Amino acid sequence: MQELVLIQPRGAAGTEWTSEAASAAVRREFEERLAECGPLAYRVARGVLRNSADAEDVAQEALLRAYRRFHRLRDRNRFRAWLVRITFRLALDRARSAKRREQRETLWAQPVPRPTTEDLAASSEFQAHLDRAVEALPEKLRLVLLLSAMEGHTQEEVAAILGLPLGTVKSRLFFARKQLAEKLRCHVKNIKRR
Amino acid sequence: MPCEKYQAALIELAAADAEAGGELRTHLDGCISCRAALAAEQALFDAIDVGLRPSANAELPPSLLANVSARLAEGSAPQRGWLPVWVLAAATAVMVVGIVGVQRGWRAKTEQASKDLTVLESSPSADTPSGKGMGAKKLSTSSVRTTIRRRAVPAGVPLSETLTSATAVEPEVLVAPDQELLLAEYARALQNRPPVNRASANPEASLIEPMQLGPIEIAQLEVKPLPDLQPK
Repeated sequence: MQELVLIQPRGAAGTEWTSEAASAAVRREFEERLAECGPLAYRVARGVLRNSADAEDVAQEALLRAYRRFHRLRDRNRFRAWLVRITFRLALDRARSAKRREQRETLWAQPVPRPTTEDLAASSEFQAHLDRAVEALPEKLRLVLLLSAMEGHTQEEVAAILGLPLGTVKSRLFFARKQLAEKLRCHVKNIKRR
Repeated sequence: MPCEKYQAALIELAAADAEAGGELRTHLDGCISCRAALAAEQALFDAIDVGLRPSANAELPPSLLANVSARLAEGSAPQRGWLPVWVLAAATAVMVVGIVGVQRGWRAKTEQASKDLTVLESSPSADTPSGKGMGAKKLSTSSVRTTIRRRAVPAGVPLSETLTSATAVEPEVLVAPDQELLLAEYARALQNRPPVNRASANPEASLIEPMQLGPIEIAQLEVKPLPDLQPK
């Protein structure tokens, strides 16, 4: 009696192995890029949200999206630029939805008690004003300001990341700082007077 | 209080983080209040830069990369080879238009065929009461189509047969029993008369002589109750 043997066609096995090897190679390459660009994504998110947990969520989401599109973003500069933009956009969305939620909840909650202690640290007060002023900046100025504030990012690098001319980055940075100063000048005087 | 003329220039100098030059440099050398204002502006911009630094350079939490790697290991492979959304949308639209077009064409064809069939089978002629032997004279009245389409057709019977039998049925007339023979004779005479060319023939010659009928005799009626309807 002839025995039946279950065999796998050679071509299919070979194809499967090749695709597995290719996807493993893509993953390795992406993980290398992740170590390099992960901090950038997190810092952009942190700069917008000023909250570590939310920033981590947003950065994670942005990195996973970047992986899904990795075949189009093999170029290093393109990858960084795309990652910065998508992270910034996701972080802004998260901030807006958090603000809406906060407004909804504030309507029903008791009024937030104002700080009555006069010994409130001037630096933390200034920081709060600064955060609000940054939040009120136009998006394009805000992103340039954020990237320029990161250590190790020269204006040339910021221009390369955002795909903008160096002059545009310089002028956006100038206007961003000027607008912040206009909003914070009065607060500096108040803090100094105390 | 700085000099009003140089106030804006001092702010811009501090914002650009640049060195003063030319006329402004000369003025600053001789004006204590403008030097103080410039120092205050520079302190403000330094405070802004310092305030921005912590959030812009936050330490990366170690869980972030680990989480991302774990999610990647779960099997969210990078998407490759997917068509853009607009290509899919365009293909769908073309398919829908194609289907609708084919359906309309088919419907028009079916309607035309049904119309032809109806006209051929259901238009009787005055000369041939049964409708047989008539030519392919087409009637375009929609009422004929509608009537025939609404009639219930028994399953398994072809439409053409149904239409033919429907139009070939002789009319039935209700007469008294003793006048049955007279009516039959009249009908035979009507069928046997020669065909008349209405355009050329004399109308008086083609007329049949009026039928002579005797007085109608009505037998006396006898009323009997039906056996099933008798009261118990």
